[in-house]
Amino acid sequence: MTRPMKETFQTLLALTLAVGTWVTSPALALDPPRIVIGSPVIEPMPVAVPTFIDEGGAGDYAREISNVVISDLEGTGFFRNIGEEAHISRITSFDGGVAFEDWKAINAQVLVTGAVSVAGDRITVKFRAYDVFNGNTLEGAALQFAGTTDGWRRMAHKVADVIYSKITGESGYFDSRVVFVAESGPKNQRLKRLAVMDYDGANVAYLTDSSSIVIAPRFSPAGDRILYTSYETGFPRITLMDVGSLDRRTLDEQPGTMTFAPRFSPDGGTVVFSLERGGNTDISTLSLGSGQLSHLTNAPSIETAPSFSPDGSQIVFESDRSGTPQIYVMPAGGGEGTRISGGKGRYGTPVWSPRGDYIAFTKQNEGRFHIGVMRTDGTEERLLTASFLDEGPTWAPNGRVLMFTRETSGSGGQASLWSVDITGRNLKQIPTEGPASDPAWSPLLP
Amino acid sequence: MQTRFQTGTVVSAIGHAGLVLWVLVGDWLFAQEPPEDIIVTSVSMISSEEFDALQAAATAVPAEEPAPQRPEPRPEPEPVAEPEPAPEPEPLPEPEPEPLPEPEPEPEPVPEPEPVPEPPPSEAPQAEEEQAIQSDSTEIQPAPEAEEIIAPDPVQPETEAETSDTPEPAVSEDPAAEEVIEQEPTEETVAEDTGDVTQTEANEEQDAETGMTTSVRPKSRPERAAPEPEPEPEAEPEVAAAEPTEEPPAEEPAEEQPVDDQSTEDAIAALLGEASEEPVEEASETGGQDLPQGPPLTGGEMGDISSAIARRWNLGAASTDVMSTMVVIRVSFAQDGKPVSFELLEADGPTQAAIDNLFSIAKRAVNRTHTEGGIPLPPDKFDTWRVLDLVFDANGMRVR
Amino acid sequence: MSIAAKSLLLIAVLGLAACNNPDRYGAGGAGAGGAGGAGGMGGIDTTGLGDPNNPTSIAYFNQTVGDRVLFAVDQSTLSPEARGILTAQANWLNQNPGYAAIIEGHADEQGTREYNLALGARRAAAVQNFLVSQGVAANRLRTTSYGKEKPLEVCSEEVCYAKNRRAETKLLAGAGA
Repeated sequence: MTRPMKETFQTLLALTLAVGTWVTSPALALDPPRIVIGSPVIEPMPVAVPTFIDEGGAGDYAREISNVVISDLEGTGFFRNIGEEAHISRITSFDGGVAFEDWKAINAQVLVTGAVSVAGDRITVKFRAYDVFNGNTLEGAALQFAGTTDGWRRMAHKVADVIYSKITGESGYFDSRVVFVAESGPKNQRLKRLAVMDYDGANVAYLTDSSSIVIAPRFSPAGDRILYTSYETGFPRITLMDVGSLDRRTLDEQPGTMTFAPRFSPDGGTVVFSLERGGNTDISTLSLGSGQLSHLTNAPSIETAPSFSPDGSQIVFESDRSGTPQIYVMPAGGGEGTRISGGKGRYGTPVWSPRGDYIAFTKQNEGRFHIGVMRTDGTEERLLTASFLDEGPTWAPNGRVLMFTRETSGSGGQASLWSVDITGRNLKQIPTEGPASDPAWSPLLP
Repeated sequence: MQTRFQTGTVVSAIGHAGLVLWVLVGDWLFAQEPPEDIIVTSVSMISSEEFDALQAAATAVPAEEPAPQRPEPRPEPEPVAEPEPAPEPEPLPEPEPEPLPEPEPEPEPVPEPEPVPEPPPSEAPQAEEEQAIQSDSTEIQPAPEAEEIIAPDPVQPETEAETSDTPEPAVSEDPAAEEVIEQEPTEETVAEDTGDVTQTEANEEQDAETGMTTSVRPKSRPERAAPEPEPEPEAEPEVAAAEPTEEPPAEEPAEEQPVDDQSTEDAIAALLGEASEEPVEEASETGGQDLPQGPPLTGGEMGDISSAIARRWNLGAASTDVMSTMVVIRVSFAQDGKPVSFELLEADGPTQAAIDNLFSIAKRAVNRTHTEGGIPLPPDKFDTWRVLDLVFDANGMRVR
Repeated sequence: MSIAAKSLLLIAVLGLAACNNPDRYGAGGAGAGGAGGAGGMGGIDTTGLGDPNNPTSIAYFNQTVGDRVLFAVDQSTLSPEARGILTAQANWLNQNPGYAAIIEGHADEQGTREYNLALGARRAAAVQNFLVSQGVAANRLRTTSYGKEKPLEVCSEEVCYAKNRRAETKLLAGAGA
């Protein structure tokens, strides 16, 4: 289009529009110009977390806690910490006010200040988070936590959870635990034992020894109990463990059967699991209170890996009734089930997000494994990872991050724990002291 | 048969005795961590007057004033023994079997008096050489683009994918080369979504205070009856992204027209700009206050403003809900171009939290743009831009 | 049966040593010790194998008769070769009524843990059903599945996978299940 022509055209169009505007706006008052802002950027938000102030007896705790807060925030991939060497202002007093200009100058969009004091075995941590460019304290992000010194990491996690939730608008997941299977020994003689750790791999504690194979532990909704499958009797059996006392009991003693793949219902009162009899595996529920056993499926195919929806009304599971393992959803009381997985390949281990919006799964296709998510009706399938063997996703309590098992191939193959954001960003390995598999995330701790 | 087992039995008995010991003692030796009672209280708030006073004091007394307990801002670089950086698995099982941390009341978010804007830059002591904080952030650093993070493996970037898979029964053991990355949300899915808005009035909210319209979309998608995932060829991004939510529920002011897409918008703005005699927008029922007068902004000017702010509009720390939210904010500017007030005019998103959040993000973007070199507002048209309505539509970001 | 007893003592002792596992990996927790150590492995692992030349020994069963059959990918149907082996197993079991057996189903590592457990169970059941059809009393047989938990071969190639997709018939001396 030549310029004169273009102008003519534009003028014409503009006049038409203008007339239209006049017509639709008889009142003479005018709206301000409206501007559509272009595409946003997606990059970690720069934050500054000056070392928390020692308000008495804090010693190393002040720095340690600051470091954990930074590690939590950066670990999400959402934030980038601006190292203290770049800071212009020093925070010398917790209530001393903040020179926003100094933080703007280094482009710190969020500033976290804190103070720690210790008396005996009691530790107090307080913090404030500022929205630097909006020039205010993040609403609700000024709190104080008090507890025992051995819980200092939890306090740091709680600080980070508050900051995360105030900035992102979704709840955090740092003050949480993960139960998993710690592995050792060669591939053909693997030793497995249950262990729990903080979500970031710290504070590992073992719950069983490795005398018998244990697999796939799951936390109860309150985080106080764990269901898992154990070969203690020589046969796979679902075991319920009280996390506090480590007391255990085996569920469902029907002879001649195998039970495995347990999960709690959202109210914690029911276990849904796979019951194998005569070579056929179906899904059943067991009420922990009454001992009432119900069979939800009854098909010659394999039905396994059930998981409740967070409202308890539905169960998603895996079945090979179509010839290959695929994902189905059925009412919590049982029933036919509707297939929701439609892609090529094999789908397994579906898990309903705690937010209810997605189902995470393992997919096997073309000789590789993927962790993926889809809507609960099967649409919007997205694969987040790919490797020789990725399996068994578990949701962070906020439904934003998945942790799963990744195993390397070959005779030296080993399992490790990884996490990935549901956008597919921020794939990373969770540090564990040895090989590890089958992670299950706890709810956010109280 | 019996004899055969005798020696074995003895051996076994010894082993088992050991085990029994473990059982007896192990619980005590290797149990969970003791509960940590964490008590949450709100930090004592200071009122804004107090804050002002503090600020004044801070400015009066040079910030060099050492804090009482810490005479010096700690000159040594890495003095503290830095026991360990963050996630260091601690191998030792804890001694006492005690229940996991006791439930404690949740931290109650406490409203915080907003510190008055920034005090004059204080002459804080320039940093000695404090040690950069150590953190295990190795792979986190400068966020790679969404795509490449997906996986270190041969998966390709999850650009959009057309998983045209139909449910098929047979296992394909054969490694073909094709990678199915993503089954794309189809446009029609998105559209359905918008449809839901109107019918779910339970979720709809009117924010009386701002007079804005907020529609909260239901989160879950309608259940599809059957698994027939037909792949839909994909139409692409920008349009797709903006469109669906762009026609908001009925009560949305009708002056929505030019907003669909940036380029379209720019073009139209340009047209309007060049048409010059006519004011751009229609009547305002909402604010009504400042009537822009003066010459309209040209398309180029509007485009400059749009992209300057877009460069600081960062969704890197946003919830997935935010990625399907749109807000329109009304910003008033001082004559020097400094944004002085913000009002949430319209919003559409799945949750109120996401709307609030996008509002904060939008404000931050505008404030940052001002701070970092300014918003390109033509000085001679103050009367035109003293109030601007800015549209931040984050829809579609999630899928990237 | 007592003929072999003395000569088998040593082997028996070795077998029993399996009980010591928990101690070997001492740093254990509260552990499965009590029940697991005794009851768990007891029935399966603590039997002497005997002399492979003695046709009534477990070693003979394992090596000469053949204690395992293999399966195709994802399958639990018995191949003609597997049927041959199982027919021999059935004959042996019918001639040696003092033994019971546990049939363990296994899968290769391609597949999720849960699915492979179920698949292993299917394979074990296929073997059990066949043995019963050959006249072995059902109450002498039990099944279990290890899914992909106990591979025989450790490489990640079909040559190993093929050997891992299996069902093993493990004899238990004495007990009639």
